[in-house]
Amino acid sequence: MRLTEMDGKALLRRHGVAVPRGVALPAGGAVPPEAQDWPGLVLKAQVLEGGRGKRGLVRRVTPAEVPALRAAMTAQAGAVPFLLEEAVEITRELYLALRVDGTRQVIECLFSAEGGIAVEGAATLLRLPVDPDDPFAADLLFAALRAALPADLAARVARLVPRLARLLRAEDLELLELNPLAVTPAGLVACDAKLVRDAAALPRHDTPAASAALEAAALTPLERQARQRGFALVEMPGDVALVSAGAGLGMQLMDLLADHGLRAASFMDNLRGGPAETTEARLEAAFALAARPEVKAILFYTTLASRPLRDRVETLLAFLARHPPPRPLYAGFAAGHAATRGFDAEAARGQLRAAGVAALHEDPRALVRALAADLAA
Amino acid sequence: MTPPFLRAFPRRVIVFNPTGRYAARQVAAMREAGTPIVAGIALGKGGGRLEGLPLLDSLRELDAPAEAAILYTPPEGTADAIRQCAAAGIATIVAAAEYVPLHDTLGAAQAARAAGSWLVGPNTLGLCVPGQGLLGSVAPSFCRPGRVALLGRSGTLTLTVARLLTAAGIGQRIALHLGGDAVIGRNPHEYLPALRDDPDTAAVLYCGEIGGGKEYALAEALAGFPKPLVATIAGRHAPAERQMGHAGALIGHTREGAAAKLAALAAAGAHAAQTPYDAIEILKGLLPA
Repeated sequence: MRLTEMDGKALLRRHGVAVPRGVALPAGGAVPPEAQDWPGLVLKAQVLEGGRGKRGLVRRVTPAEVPALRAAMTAQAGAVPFLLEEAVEITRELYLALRVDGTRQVIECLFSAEGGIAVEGAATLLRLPVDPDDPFAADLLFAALRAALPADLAARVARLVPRLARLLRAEDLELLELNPLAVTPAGLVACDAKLVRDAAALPRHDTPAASAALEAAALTPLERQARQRGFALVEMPGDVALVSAGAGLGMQLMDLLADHGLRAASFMDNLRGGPAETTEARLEAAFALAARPEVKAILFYTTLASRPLRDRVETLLAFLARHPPPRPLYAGFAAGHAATRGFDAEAARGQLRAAGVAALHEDPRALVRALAADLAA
Repeated sequence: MTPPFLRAFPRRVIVFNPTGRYAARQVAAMREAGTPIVAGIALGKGGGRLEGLPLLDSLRELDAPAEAAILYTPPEGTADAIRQCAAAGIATIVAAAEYVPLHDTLGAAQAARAAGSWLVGPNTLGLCVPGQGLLGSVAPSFCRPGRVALLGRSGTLTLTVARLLTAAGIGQRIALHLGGDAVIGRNPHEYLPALRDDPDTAAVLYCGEIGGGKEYALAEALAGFPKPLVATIAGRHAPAERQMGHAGALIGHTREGAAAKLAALAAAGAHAAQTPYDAIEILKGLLPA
């Protein structure tokens, strides 16, 4: 889950990381009394997408300009929260991020002496491993940062990074990006913050309401409904409603469809905390998609190692008995020995054909080929 | 270090938390496949039995060391279970749970590595050494003995590809699901030294996917690898910046997309295949009839 800048900075502040003074702009838009005396103001729309500055969603403002600029930003970004922040005196901008490098199995620090830009554009990006439990971590970082920064600044950054690494772990963050990390007369200040929390660890933490609301708002109604029913759905512009289980197989089916000139209109996967069985909910979502004029067919494919195939087929048959498919349905099953124990596969095939399944194949490519051939005919 | 299960299939296997509905089904399938499971570890159920399998409250109650442990422990307890197994010197640890928090896995994977254990997963279906045994849920009926080492980042795709290989008459030295998360016990490239030295492996089929950088480490490790490695990457048509399921599969950058990864692997000497079907055709050409 990506946190809004406001939620991310509140978290940083709790951990003693310097951020500019800021206040949530109330619904009426008036500048709160505590902000009236700040030497300068920055109005920031709280959207989750990057590139806010280029889109005009971050602006220096005077108190008098706040209502009109807020209205203009709302017209562009929708009814999002707003952060009003003190403008700080910046003498230099740095880039600093921490994340987990899964391949090296370390927390790594990404650093550039040129901040305020997209990381991809940084001329020199240092990648430094950080052990949050090493009492000499700052010393090691200092040696690496010294080539890029004056000694006093390198020392300040080196001291900050291990603290941020501990914060990354304590708050279950996948990413903590400060861009820019501003050098100011008062010290290092995180002027912008992108924090992404590990979805698997969400139950350990309070969910910031604004971040959750913005994330939910970015979903389509069907995607939101899918989450409520315990699976992940990604809607895409496409002509085949795809029902699958497992991310890799789902992506492989998307690729096979594309190789045959078709596009998947959906991708599905499990969700933490969801029920063990979501086949019916997935079918409902796919049938809802298939009712749209641009969607021409439904593809249902599953591979089972040991979960009983009988359960999956019976769920499908029961669903089809209540819901005739709005478009031709192509189905495929690959089941291991343990999954088919006591199951009459031939009888099931007959029942599925009788229920209106257009084609049945165990091989996903054969199934996609049959679908593509029918649609082309 | 060599994955212990490539040297010899474990002779004493234990299962953590074997009594849940899903786990009990896997235990039954493994025992049917001949996996020598000697005990289940289930706190609070010690002294009981699961279909004849003795249950112990604790790993410490084992009368002889285990060579492999399969963990069906829920995600919030998986890191501790891995650490227990590592501390007990268990050579192979297979952690099945999905949704283990990232930092839990990072610490547990480091602990397992430091202890010399070979951790597969988390978020894995485990592995099948056809003709020898099964650690997890890779259906033995999808596999057949042979000389291709199949390594996959996705569970369902590993199953699917094992089945396609078998249907094409290509047997497997091993069919292994590495784990679907960003942090897993051992990364793909770490298998190469053992597969290089393994006389029973003639070729490697790697099924990767979008997201992360594991394929680049694999490409780097290919230098000097003397056997053919065929690679395919799922997610060629996945939209950018959308999370496609589990943690690993997100294109955050062009470098994490399928085209860039395939190109890097091809430049390093891999046989790049657009689909598993193409990979199988390449393997047919590479392997003696």
